[in-house]
Amino acid sequence: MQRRDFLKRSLVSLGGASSLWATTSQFNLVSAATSAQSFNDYKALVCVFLLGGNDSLNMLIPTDQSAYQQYAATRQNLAVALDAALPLSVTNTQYSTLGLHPSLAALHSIYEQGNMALVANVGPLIEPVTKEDVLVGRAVLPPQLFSHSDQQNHWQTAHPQQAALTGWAGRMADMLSDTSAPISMNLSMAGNNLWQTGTLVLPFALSNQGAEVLEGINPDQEWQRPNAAFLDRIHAGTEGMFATQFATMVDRTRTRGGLVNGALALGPELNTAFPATRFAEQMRLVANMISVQQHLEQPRQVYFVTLGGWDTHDNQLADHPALLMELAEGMAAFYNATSELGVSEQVTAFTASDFGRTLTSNGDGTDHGWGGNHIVLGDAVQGADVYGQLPEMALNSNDDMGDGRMIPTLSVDQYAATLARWFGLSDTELTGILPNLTHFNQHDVGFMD
Amino acid sequence: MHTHIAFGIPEQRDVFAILEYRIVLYAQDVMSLRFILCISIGIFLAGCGGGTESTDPESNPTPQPAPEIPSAPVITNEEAVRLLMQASFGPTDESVEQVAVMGAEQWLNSQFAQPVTEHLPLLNSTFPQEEIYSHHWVETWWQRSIYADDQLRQRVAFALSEIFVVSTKDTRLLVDPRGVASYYDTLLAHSFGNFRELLEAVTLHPMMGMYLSMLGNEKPDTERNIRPDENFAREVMQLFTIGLVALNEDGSVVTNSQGEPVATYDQDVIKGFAHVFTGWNFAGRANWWEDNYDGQSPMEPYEAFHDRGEKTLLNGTVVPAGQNARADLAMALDNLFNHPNVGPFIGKQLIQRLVTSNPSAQYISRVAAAFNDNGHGVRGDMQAVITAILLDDEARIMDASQTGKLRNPLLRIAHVMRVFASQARDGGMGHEFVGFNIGIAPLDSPSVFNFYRPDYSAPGAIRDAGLVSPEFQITNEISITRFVNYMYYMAWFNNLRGDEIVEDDVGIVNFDRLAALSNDHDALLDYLNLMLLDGQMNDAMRTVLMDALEHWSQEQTEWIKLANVVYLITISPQFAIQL
Repeated sequence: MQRRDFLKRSLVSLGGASSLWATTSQFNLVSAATSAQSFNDYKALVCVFLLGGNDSLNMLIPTDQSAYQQYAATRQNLAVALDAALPLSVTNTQYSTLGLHPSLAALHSIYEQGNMALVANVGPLIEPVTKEDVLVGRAVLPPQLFSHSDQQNHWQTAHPQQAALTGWAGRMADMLSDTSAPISMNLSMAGNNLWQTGTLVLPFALSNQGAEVLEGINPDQEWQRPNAAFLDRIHAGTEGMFATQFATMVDRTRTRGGLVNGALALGPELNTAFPATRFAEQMRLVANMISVQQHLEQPRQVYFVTLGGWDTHDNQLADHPALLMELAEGMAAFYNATSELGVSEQVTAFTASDFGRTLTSNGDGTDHGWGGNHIVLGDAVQGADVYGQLPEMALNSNDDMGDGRMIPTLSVDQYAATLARWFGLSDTELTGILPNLTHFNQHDVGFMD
Repeated sequence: MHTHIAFGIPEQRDVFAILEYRIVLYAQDVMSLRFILCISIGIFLAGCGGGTESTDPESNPTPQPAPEIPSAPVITNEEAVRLLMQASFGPTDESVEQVAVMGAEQWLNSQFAQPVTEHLPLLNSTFPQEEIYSHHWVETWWQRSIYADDQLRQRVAFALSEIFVVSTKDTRLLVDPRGVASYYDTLLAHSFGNFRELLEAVTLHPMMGMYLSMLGNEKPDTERNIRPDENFAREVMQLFTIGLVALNEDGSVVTNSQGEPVATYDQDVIKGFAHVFTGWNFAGRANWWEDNYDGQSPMEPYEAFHDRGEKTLLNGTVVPAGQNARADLAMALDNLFNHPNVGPFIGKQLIQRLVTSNPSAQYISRVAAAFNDNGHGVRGDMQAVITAILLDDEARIMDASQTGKLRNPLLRIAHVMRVFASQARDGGMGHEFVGFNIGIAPLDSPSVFNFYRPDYSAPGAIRDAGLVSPEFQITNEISITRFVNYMYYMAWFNNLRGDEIVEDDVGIVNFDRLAALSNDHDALLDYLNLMLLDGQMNDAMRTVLMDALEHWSQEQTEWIKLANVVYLITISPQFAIQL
């Protein structure tokens, strides 16, 4: 029997929950026991999902004279003032000069240093479409465009032709991870989610504090061990599909929570200051978890973080800049923390969101659109540039499906494939997790090393 | 054994433990107004509990005595408890007895006849100060949900609050708890009425108006690139009435010749409805731009901002040009209400909230038929729908094929509160921060899509069997830990501890009934099996609990044994799942 198998079995055989309540010394054993499969390096992918649909077309402002005038005329009172936009170095785009929304100031220098890229007009697609395809009805379009739930699902599954059961990060983890590993490769700051759900791998939910400590059945406390044993026996006698599922999840919580907290206790204190926002607190915990990945024996980690409030149907002038600032400051602090930890080359964070929003306004806000712009952050990013084709910021252009809903020129699949390739997937594996990728010529948008 | 260890935690740590527990949880939430408030005025726990600053005779939580019992029981206690788990916030000794002698149908009819117990008047009388917070509304929500006599109506309104979602996650709603209570009262008022009136009342409530931005939605202004807001137009169809795809009466999806689902509407229909829903604003304004606020009165039309053009709605229905806002609204709501999807779409979700996650197609069909026609030619009669849901064989007859549902954690907590007549010494309930503690509170979902989707299917055996399990969507390592800990504290704060409990503002469960049975473990487990598990305690579980009682009997203090056994039951899968 291999030492690794022996240790795993002995951990399990110690009596369920309590045995995996690891101490520091146990950690070394676990680490030795579950030495990872084929990776000899570490990488983490962090998805920042902006729930509600970010008006991301307003993150990038065309700043040369005529383009700005067109933008300002289109966006009316939602337009960012020309002198407020932060100038960006760009080489790839059709615009000679571009500016960043001033509320993203915290990310400006990271972009200019080449460690952040912007990806233009990404959205849910099944195949490339033109405006004419859409208008004459010959385009194969994703179902329920502009619906929050369906478009969030599309971003997460990348396969709208099927029932939304697994996400592309879940399927990726099914391929990459050691399924007998004690902790899921997919770690969620936002509870259960489709993106990280695979056939074998399920997301493990964390709070800003890590895993929380169970009271009453905590085997760390001697007087609670009898209750833990009683609950084990209740679970053993549980019948019925729903009750069994519930028992399984409770047991997973009991066994894995201790491992996570035990590992976090071994992590270094971060000097990087994080703002006091909920989002930044989530990003800090992600940084903490990254700092202890060696104790968790996770050569690959995938994180899911959410920031809500982007469905700016009204009050957008006040709400949207505040959200952008919260996003930028949280992401910038996270980037700085990965630099402090010496892993900024190995960690890539990226944004996702239901959809972009209409260029037109409804008075004080915008409605559900389609394509949108996205941020990719980390030292492995070919930064200081904008990838893809920015849409024309005008109504009734060839990019406009109507009311300023921009037809995406990059699909979620292409964006995801570029990230997943960097993460270690082969061409075959990419089309395995992103079945619609074959409908697009370019499988690598080029923003990653 | 440790004489100083109470329920596993040294006495001296009691206060600090709970204090620390709360602080950690509060500190996680930047929205915790009460935390900030309490720190700033320096009366952290003592002054900020579920305190009731005034006495309201209505809030007297003593359950009304059961009506005269006319005859012997017609259904078993287990059958009575099962109905009460589906149709109320949980059984009490009195209600079990009442239902057992009345039977399901008569009990439903008696509940239909109960007057509405509203939340807003209690909120106003309990917290008369001008500035109140979200947790004040949650406090009175508990008082009403646990102690109101119109339990069925309260339970149905709670189910409706998970369909017609507004949320205090929206800061405008967060700062107006009275408006939120008024919205909940609107759901209560129409729970036993007609769906068409419910739909209109929800549509025009200013909380919904703000939440889905129909309030202030103005007609197109091409000069300024302004077109009507599509938010409410979209969600009223997708979530409140018909859903995305055409349904047969049994809830199955209508497909076209290629086998693809048939969409119920397209973007043009959304635009049509968006134009209908223009011109509404807070009631009582002299004009559209006047800066008054009324979070309770139905919104009113301001015709200058209503689009009077022609609009196309569902099934090709055309709203003629030149109509005013009210006429347009009436046509649009009729258009939605009469769509054949409403019966199966809403009926299935109500079944899922009350009875089971996976009703059969026949069950959905029977409920949809009751929606379509109550037997007297009336469509949308909520009493007929509720009766069809609760008196159906699938709800009333227990058989081996039942997979049941996972219960929303709030319902599990409510169940414990009702069985053990939970109350804080200060007259409040002591559970107003449930949202901070376990991550779920009434009308506080993350988005208009509720806490979970009706079609969520937990990966594993449930998904493999092709079943759905909505409540599993919010079941994860964090929510499980918080719920387990919540049960620990609920059992810990029991009245048998007497003066050991120094906090006035925590909910205290009453274990007198358990103490009376404490020497007879069989009788004790029989009682707990009935009241907490609806008779679902199998032999294996009973054996374990007998051993647990035996083990904790070694403690000199009786309540330790009782608290531990209640704790073990309430964190068990058997308690979480409703069959």
